[in-house]
Order: sequence, then C-alpha cells, then structure tokens
Amino acid sequence: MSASATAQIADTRGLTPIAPRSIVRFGMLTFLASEAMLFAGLIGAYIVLRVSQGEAYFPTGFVKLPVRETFIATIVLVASSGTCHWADTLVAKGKRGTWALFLTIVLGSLFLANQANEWMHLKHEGMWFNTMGTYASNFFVLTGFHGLHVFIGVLLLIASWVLSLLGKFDGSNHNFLMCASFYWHFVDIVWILVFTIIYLW
Amino acid sequence: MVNGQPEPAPSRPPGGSSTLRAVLWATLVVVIVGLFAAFARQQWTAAMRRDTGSLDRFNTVPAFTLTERSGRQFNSAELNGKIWVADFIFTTCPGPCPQMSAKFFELQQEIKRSSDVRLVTYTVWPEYDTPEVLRRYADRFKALPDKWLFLTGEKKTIYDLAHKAFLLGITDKESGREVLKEGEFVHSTKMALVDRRGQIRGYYDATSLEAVQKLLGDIGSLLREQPAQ
Repeated sequence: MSASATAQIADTRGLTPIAPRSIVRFGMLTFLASEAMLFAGLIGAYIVLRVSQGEAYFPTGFVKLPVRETFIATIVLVASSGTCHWADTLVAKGKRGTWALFLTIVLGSLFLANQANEWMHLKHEGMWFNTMGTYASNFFVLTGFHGLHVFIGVLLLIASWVLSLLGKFDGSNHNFLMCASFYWHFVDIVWILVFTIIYLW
Repeated sequence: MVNGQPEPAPSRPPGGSSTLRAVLWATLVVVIVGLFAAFARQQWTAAMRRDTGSLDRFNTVPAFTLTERSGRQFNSAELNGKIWVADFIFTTCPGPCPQMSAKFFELQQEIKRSSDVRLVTYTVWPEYDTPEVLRRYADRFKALPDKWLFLTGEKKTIYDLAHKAFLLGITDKESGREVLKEGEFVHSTKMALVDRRGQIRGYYDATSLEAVQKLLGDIGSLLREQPAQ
C-alpha cells in the first residue's frame, strides 16, 4: 500500500506531483459530505413545512409541476451517471473514454435544458421565488441550488473531456476524472431525493 | 449463462470489494425500480384528481361552541373528520331562507345514508331563534336530528364565523342603521362546503338551480380526495 503510494507521488507529469489516489478520494468524499449537509438543510426545510402544514402547504391557485417531463429528465440524469461510470472504467483500463464523457456531458446538458424550460414555464404561470409563499421559494431555492451543482458538474466533465482528449489520463492516474465522477454521482443521488420528495410526494 | 462467464470476475480485487459492488448495483436497481413505481403512483393519483376536478381551498373554520336545536351544547369538534355544508338563515325570514332550507332538504335526501356528511344551519337571529323555535322550523323541513344540525347561541360567535371564516355577509339593524328594522336581516344566500379538516372548499348559491347537483358532485370529490379513516 505505502509502496504504491510512494510510487504515485514519485510519478510526476510536468511539474505537478500527483497526490495518492486514496488521499484525493478521502478529500473529495469529505467535501461531498459537507455538500450533503447543505442539501440536507434545504430538503429538511421542505419536509418540515410540508408535514406541519399538510395539503395547505400548496398555495391556492397552486401551479402543477411538470412531473412527466421531470421524470424523463431524472432518467436522463441517472443514465448520465451510468455513462460517467463507464468513462471512469474505460480510463482505468487505460483507454481514453472520450465518447463516454461526451455522452455524459450531452445528457447533463439535456437535464439543465429541461430545468431551464421548467422554470420559464412556472414563471409564466405566476410561480416564482417571491410569489406563492414558502412553497414556491423553497422549491426554487432547492432546485436552483441543485441546478447550479449540475452546471458545475457539467463544467468539471467538460474539463475532464478536454484532459482526456489531450491524453492527460492513464490507467493509474486520473484523479481529476475520479473527482468529477464522484461529484456527478453525488449530484445524481441528491436529485433522486429531491425529485421523489418534491414531485412525487 | 450464454457466455458461460464465471460469477466473480477474476480481475476483481480480492476481499469485500466485490460484495460491496454487488450491494451498490442492487441498491441502484432498487432505486430505479422504486422511482418508476413512485412515478406511476403519482401519475395515477394525479389522473384521479383531474378526473374528479380538484376543489379550491378557502379559510379554515375555527373551533366554536354553540347550542343545537335539541338544546344540547354543540362543540365544533363533532364536525372534525366530517364533510359538511353550512348556511345562514333565520326562521322568520320571508325571502330566500325557506328556499335555502328546501335545498338542504334535497341534499339531506341524498346524503342521509352517508355517515360522513352533515348539514349545518346557523341562525343569524339567535335572540329570537331559540332551540325551541329552531326545532319547530327544523320539523317543517323534516330535518333528521343526526344529519342536519341547527345552531344558535351567542350572536358574536355566529357573526364572527360568518364574517371572518366563511366570509359571508350578514347585516342587521345595528350594522345596517335605519334601513333595517328589528327582525330584518340581509344575509348571504351562499352555502359553503367544508372538508374533513375544517377547510372551506367551495361556495354555492342556494338560488341557483344547479346548486344541489354541483354540491353533490363536489361532496363526492371530497369523499374520494379524503377517504374515511
């Protein structure tokens, strides 16, 4: 274990020494744990308000959320986690995985496009951050924070894609892709929770 | 089976890692299947709700204590969990009140077999409409004692309910000044539908020909939306 870690440190590309994979993984998981706290707060607020107010939580003239479209977007996001894992596996085997990454980026962007469309639709229907009470503001803050994470995730995937095209990854060294992949899976898991609680409950 | 692949892939690292992997994949499958099931359920409920036409939501009726026509104390907690229709009348009313009570009688014929539905008539002239007077009025309309309640009591309680919860107007001599004489009232001819949680879900004009039909339809919607516990 320690021998391979030392070997990884010794292996440098250009001027940047490469951190051992286990340490990078631990750092990333710690970061994601703190991210989970953020979402736990927002989701918790929604659950508490919904439980305490019951059906009355939905304001009079409540706008129906486009559940069907968002369900499809959810499937797209879950599929993108699959292609992301595929890319990770390919790169670990010493391949480039650029197509798998590209597909992941496309699927992630489709999710974002759907969300943008949904927000415009809801705004048009009169539901926005500052209208229709805590329900609407909770909805927009929660899905907004998540959407921002998806956006950052897409940027990380694009960066991974470029690095892969430039041949910066190999089987033993692809920490950047590993982190982007963790982040992407995390965003996916959070979305499944958000979707289930806000759209299906 | 077709490929004849051995179950634990030989390239996997030894130890608990392959078990963990299997657990993760199984979780993923369960989550995806669960997601589809929850989505199907949501779509089904939404379709049912569309079918029945979901009702608006108005004020929630606060708790109150009044006197029933039998003379007993009536606490609004008795209406918790019931679907009920309310109206405001007075027994000497020459105009629309008999018409409103006739509509309630029609409703009573339809709902009397349901244990979950009640009719509630408040008097707007509690000083005159004592339980005894209300009882005679109720008998005129063949009101069933356990289905159709007549409530009198403190005037302020009734007027506050009408004005603040039901948002229905009542004007009497005191508020109407010289226009109205003693025993004359101007009051709304609306009937209000209240759900099991005490929330008002609809208003129906008693002078309208389709009021009873519409009310019965909406009571049905509420029974489907809030099935008996």
